[in-house]
Amino acid sequence: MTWLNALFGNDPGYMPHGMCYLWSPGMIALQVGSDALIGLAYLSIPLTLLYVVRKRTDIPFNWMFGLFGVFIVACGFTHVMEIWNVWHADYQLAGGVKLVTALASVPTAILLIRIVPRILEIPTRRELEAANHRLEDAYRELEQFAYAVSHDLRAPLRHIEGYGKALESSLAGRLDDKQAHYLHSMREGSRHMGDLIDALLELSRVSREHITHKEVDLSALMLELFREFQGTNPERPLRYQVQPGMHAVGDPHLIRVVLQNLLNNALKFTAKRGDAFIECGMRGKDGGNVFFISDNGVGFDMQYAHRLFSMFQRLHSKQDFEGTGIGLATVQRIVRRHGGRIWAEAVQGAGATFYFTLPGQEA
Amino acid sequence: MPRDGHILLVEDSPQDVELIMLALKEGKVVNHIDVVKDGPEALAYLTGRGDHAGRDLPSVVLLDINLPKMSGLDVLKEIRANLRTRHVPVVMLTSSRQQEDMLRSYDLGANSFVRKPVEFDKLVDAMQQLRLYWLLLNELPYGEAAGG
Repeated sequence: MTWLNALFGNDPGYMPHGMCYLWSPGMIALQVGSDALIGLAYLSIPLTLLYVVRKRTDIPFNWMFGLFGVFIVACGFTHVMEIWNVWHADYQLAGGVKLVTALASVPTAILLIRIVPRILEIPTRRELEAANHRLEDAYRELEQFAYAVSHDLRAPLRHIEGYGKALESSLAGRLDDKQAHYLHSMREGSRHMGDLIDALLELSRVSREHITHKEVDLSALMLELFREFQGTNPERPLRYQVQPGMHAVGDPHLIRVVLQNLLNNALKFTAKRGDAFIECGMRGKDGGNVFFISDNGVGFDMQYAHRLFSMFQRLHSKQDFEGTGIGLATVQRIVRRHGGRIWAEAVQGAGATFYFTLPGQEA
Repeated sequence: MPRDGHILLVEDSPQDVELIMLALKEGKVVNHIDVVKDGPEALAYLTGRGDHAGRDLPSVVLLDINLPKMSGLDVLKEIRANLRTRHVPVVMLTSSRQQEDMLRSYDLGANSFVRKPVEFDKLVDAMQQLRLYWLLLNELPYGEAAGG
């Protein structure tokens, strides 16, 4: 208890500061008022810093803000002590508070000097803007290149296909099976390349297009796609189920592209089944709704699941299932542009389920 | 007066011209087709200037976007700015469906926008559809469009 006494004990030898001010009300008001304002400011600054650091976890050296905070709070308390000392001569306590401030200020000062080179390394706003411009330019050039390639490749392709057809027609009946097969394969190749170019154009389009944010009724959209398919393929046996009341916020056109691609995928891989069943629904999970489209098709080996969404990656041979290998890459790009995630689960021979998230109504 | 069932094809690629003609033939589109290779010639044809003096207007113009000298879009602009030709149906024919081209075309008054398909059979189909719509179904304000 002796140290407490030492700290709080009113040593009769000391005089409160008020005595030095000769208890002049003007002087006391000036001193106390100023200390009060400084103290209040010093106590509020760390709260602001704390708020900023918590909101922007990406800010570098945020521990430095913490040190600053402690230092400034300690400074605040020294000013509170100044006020207290006007009437109470607790200089031991005041000295203790000052000591704490000193202990917080010295490491702050040293560490600040040590991180100066690293602070100077942080790119300036102007440098970031310039880098951003360079990226934008490169991106635009790449898009233009992709477009030009796709656009200009189509014309000669059309000629190969068209003249192939002309040749086929004019030689009709005069080609043996092998020759007919060669010609047919050439035309087939041009058609496939045409599909690839279209898919690439679509991929580049969904990456560039401005995204609108509207409420989209996924259930209605999905039903429409199912009906559209059945309208054009009445002979195909297909059962489907769509959970009612599924909504999300996003670009109606792009979300349609997502659903269409996932549905096409499910249709493709159930094509050889007489009892094809495709289901579209929603599962609540913390942090938002997870939508899914599942089928009872051929599925795939989960070992290759990570390759599903890469461009030109196909998990099935072209002979078994046609495709460009761009559809799922397009889907992933759209989902990501909406801030969502997409993944898939499957059992080989028993079906696949594609899951994706989209922002909800509150987004 | 425009002649019924007359088509003007504005296309610079000889291969495309040949294939479109083949497609028209394959699709049993028997209408009369005139082909010009660039924009200035198309405008001369439509306004009856030079070699084309005294020509009637076609029932539909198939206009390629990528043309030498002046682009298909510029040709379209001129067609729409001319009192004699402003009501002639113009179908833009292109290789791709670039959004900007489509928007520009419709802004400038194109009546439709058709992408030349890679598959020849689809080109035949497209030509049949175009004929069905623009040459048989569609009605034109002939009196107003009538010129030389």
